[in-house]
Amino acid sequence: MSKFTKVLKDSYFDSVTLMSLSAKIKKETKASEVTVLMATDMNKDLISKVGLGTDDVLNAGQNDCVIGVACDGDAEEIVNRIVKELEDGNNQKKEKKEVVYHTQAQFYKEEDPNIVVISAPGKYAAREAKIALENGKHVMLFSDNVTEEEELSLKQLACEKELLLMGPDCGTTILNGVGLCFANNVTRGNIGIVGASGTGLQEVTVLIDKQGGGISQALGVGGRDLHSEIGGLMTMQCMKALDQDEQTSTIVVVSKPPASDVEEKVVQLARTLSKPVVLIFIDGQPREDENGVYYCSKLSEGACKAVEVTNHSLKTSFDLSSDVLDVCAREQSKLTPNQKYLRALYCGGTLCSEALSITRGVLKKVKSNLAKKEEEKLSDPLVSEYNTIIDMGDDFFTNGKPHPMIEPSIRLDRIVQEAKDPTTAVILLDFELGYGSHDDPVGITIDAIQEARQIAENEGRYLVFVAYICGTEKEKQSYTTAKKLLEENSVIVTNTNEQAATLAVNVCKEVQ
Amino acid sequence: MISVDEYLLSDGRYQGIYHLHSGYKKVLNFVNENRAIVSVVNASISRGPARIQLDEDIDFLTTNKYEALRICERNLHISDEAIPYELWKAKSLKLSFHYDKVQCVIAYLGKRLQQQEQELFDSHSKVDQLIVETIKTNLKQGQLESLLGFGMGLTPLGDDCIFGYLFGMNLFDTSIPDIYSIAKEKTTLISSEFLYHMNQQRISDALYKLGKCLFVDEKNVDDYISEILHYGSSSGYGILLGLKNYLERRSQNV
Repeated sequence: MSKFTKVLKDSYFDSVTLMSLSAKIKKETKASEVTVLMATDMNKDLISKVGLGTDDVLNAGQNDCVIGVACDGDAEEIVNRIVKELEDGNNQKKEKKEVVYHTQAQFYKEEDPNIVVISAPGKYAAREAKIALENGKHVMLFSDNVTEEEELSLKQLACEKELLLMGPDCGTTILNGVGLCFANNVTRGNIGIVGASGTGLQEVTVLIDKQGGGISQALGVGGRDLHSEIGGLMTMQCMKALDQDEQTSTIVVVSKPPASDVEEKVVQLARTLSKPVVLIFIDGQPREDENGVYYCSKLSEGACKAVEVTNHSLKTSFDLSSDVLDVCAREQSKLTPNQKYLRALYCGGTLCSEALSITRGVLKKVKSNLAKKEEEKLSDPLVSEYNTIIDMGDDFFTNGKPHPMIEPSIRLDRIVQEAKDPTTAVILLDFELGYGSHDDPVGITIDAIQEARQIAENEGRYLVFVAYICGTEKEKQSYTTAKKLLEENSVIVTNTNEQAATLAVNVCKEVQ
Repeated sequence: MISVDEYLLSDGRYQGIYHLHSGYKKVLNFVNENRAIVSVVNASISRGPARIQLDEDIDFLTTNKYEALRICERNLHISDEAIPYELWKAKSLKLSFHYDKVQCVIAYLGKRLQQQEQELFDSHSKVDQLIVETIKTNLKQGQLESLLGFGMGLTPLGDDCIFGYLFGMNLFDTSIPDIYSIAKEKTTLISSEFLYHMNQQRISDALYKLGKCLFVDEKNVDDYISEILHYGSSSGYGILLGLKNYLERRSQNV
């Protein structure tokens, strides 16, 4: 019988850990005795009674921990294994340590980051952003509810200090290949993007990736940056930064239509930069391309242009395949005469805007909770009228709830509700993959799609579903699996949001 | 709001600068130059003597936010930051000894402890057998001092039993023996700190609830006993074993 003991001076291990570890080792090694006790006088007597009372043990103090093993094999080896497992456990805990600081000042005493992501309630966000800027840090301001006055003041400060203030309400940024908040897993490359829109920025990065291009940086600036009040301060600051960035050879700016005075300032700046600039103003007025400055009004058009400008040998497009058009024609033929209207239920705000822009050019009676025109405004966001394009990420739906990109289940009831309306012909859906988004946005929606279909079928109707998945093949959620699942449920899946909206609109156009 | 045992602020033994003694998932123990122990516990641990209960369910193993502690007059500083707090006052529960009721509790605890023993102790381990036999024998004879520092655990099982035994005395008797003055030489610092407060008849919210649950309202007693039995590795078992033995000895004298 081999016996060995070890004393760990002033060591306090969690009792549960010690008990479970000694039981585990005893079982695995078949040792006749594995004991871990504090070296109190009483315990030292006890250990001596079972023949493990070595000098070390007898000299140990009451706050020391004693490990003792008696076995037929090598007792020392077993004791060392216990010590190692205890130490490994402690080291793992140390590695897992998450450092929490109460204030930025505390943090800056120990760390020197060059960028800070702020996601505090809006009431406090501007103050924290100001502190960060004053400390010379670039800021990604995820928070919303920052006033326009605060935004202007922060952006002026950032410009003075030649820093970036990305936001407020900035959900997407990719810096040197690292995605912050909502971002897609896209190939790295030499196209740098400035986006005054969240899902618009995501869509352009994804489409560039799909066309064989790559992203150097993608900088969100917040949806109000190109309003007259802010004057495009940060869009222009980012454009200048990308002009200096060695990894970037083409600059893309993506935004909903800017204020006209701001648009002119951005165009003027684009003309002075050393790199080609593609300006995508969704639903913007058509303009002739100039030397080195290209104008687009659709996201996919802008993405293709950026790839072609960067690599002249690439010819790109997102033409709809004849297969998809055939499927669409077949689906359309199944509609009853009363089924006329499009119901687009979007999670992504900019994708929704793009769909609205496409729809209003083709269909009459278009309503949306995003619409600015009085005649297009939806009187009750909870009830669809005629052709309805809904942004379910709007504050009306998300007040006190997660955004539908994080938790798409808030859209499920609405899918079923639209199916109950006998005038619904097409339901259009978007799904966002990538960092920050739900782990399985399609999977969580399939039951609602099936239920909607069943409701329609019970009433002798057929529903056309069209979907767009914003994501690449490299996402943490599998793009292929998501697409397959939708197609197995007879949902038409397209390669761009523009295609999805165009297809859905065309089906309705025919029946209207 | 962070809750602090008022005693920490009024007793001179607890004044001063503390350094980290030992840390676990839900508890950090700090020690000062008087060898007094103060436990900073997360919100899932009950309020109790010498405890500072935080208002969030922090996992101390994954944060180093709490590295130092200072108690100075009535000010509390954690990691150099002055912390606002509310005061907690130790509970006191005094009950009348109803023989029939106590017999029911003894029988109930006996059943629950027997089940737990099979889970806890290895019948093939000579050490485990010796510990359990020695503790049971000494408890039956009321020899509390001989259990100090005896058995497995950071608070050795023998101390847990003493603690449970003294808790029983707290409920039904007017005075309890001074175990602490011997304990500080014979057992671990943390264990002796527990006994220090029990000696002064200062009990935690959890023990107060245990007393109420067993002897007064009996609501959810099964669930609560299960919760107690899972304290530490064997602490809950020890406390209940000590309490049962006290009740048995006290019954013999009625």
